[in-house]
Amino acid sequence: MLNNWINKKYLDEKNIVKIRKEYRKAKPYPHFALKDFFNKEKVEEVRKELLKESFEKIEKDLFSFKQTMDLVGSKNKIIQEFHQVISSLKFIDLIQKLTKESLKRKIDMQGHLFEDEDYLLFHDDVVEGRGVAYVVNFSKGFTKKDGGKLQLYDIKNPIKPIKEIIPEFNTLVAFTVSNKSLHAVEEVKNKKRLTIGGWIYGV
Amino acid sequence: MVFNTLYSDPAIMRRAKKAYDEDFPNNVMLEKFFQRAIFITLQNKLYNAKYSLKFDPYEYRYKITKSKEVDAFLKGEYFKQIVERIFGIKKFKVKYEVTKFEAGDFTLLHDEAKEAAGIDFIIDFSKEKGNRGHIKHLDEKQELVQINVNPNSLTFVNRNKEMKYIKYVSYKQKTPIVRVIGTILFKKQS
Repeated sequence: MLNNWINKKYLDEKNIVKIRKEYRKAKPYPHFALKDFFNKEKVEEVRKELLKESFEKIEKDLFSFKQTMDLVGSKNKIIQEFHQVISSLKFIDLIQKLTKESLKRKIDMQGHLFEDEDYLLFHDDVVEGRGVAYVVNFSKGFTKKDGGKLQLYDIKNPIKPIKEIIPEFNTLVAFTVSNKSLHAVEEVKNKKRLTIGGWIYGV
Repeated sequence: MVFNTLYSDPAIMRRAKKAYDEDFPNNVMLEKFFQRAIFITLQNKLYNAKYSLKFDPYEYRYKITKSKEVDAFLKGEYFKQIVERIFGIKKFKVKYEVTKFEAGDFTLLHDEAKEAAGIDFIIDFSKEKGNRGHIKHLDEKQELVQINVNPNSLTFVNRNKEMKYIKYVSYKQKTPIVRVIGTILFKKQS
């Protein structure tokens, strides 16, 4: 199944070892952003179907954006298939190899839509059991000036982000959840930032 | 007289007290509070003052400054008169900050720092009206009141167990939001 969905270069053992080394060394904490991660046709199809899901606006002190219910409950066949891939033993095994984290076959998955002036302020994602946070980017045409970047901060000096990841189409971003994983989503400026994200739980 | 002469009229102040008492949570906004010339002078001073960043990623990001003029006003007779007329309180302490919120600034709710109960007040020296950077009061169940940015206003909001936060200021906010944000803490009447 993974062969149909994932870019072959990310299934190559030598490349996996290389990515894992980079992931572990990454600053301010272990993370990666893997471009062209999924099969292009498949990811286009998921994007098209994701936009048909129902997004609800949520707004609190910490955030403002739209999100779906957990996509495990989606009635859409393509979304169901995508959920099956991400929650499959083979995919979780791949993420374990890429991150060197011990993970189990338990995931959360929601769609997120950030529109103009939407944001997600500083937080670390720490909730008992969460091992690795993941985001699949489905937005198109984002540049540095459009906002919406995933910003990773050093907890000891959080004035400026150490790393900023532009939400490029078909990029898989993942990081290890810990009390050091301080991050935010920069306010979006006149664009739509569409992602599917969640957590893979740790053993 | 530094403030609008309207607010020295006992009938107007009775109406302000009634408006405060009838709302939940108790709150009232006194618009065009300072006399225009005084307001402009204070506004210019506060916009040109030097601010320092107050930042904790899990709690807040904004700028603060000190102002002799604001301090003198809050500890002086005029403010005392207003508080006495609306709340019937003669003895109180005031805790406050002169704040500046620009694009990217915010405060968050956080359990550890529940504020002491009192009457919150906001003196707004901003340059443009709007809802960006508004102050939201809420309890555990629901949002209760939202105080929008309104230049030259003085707002009072009663706060017991309620909490408040200041909404993230969007990139679309053109001018800094400058407000004195504080709390009136009661002293026991002797």
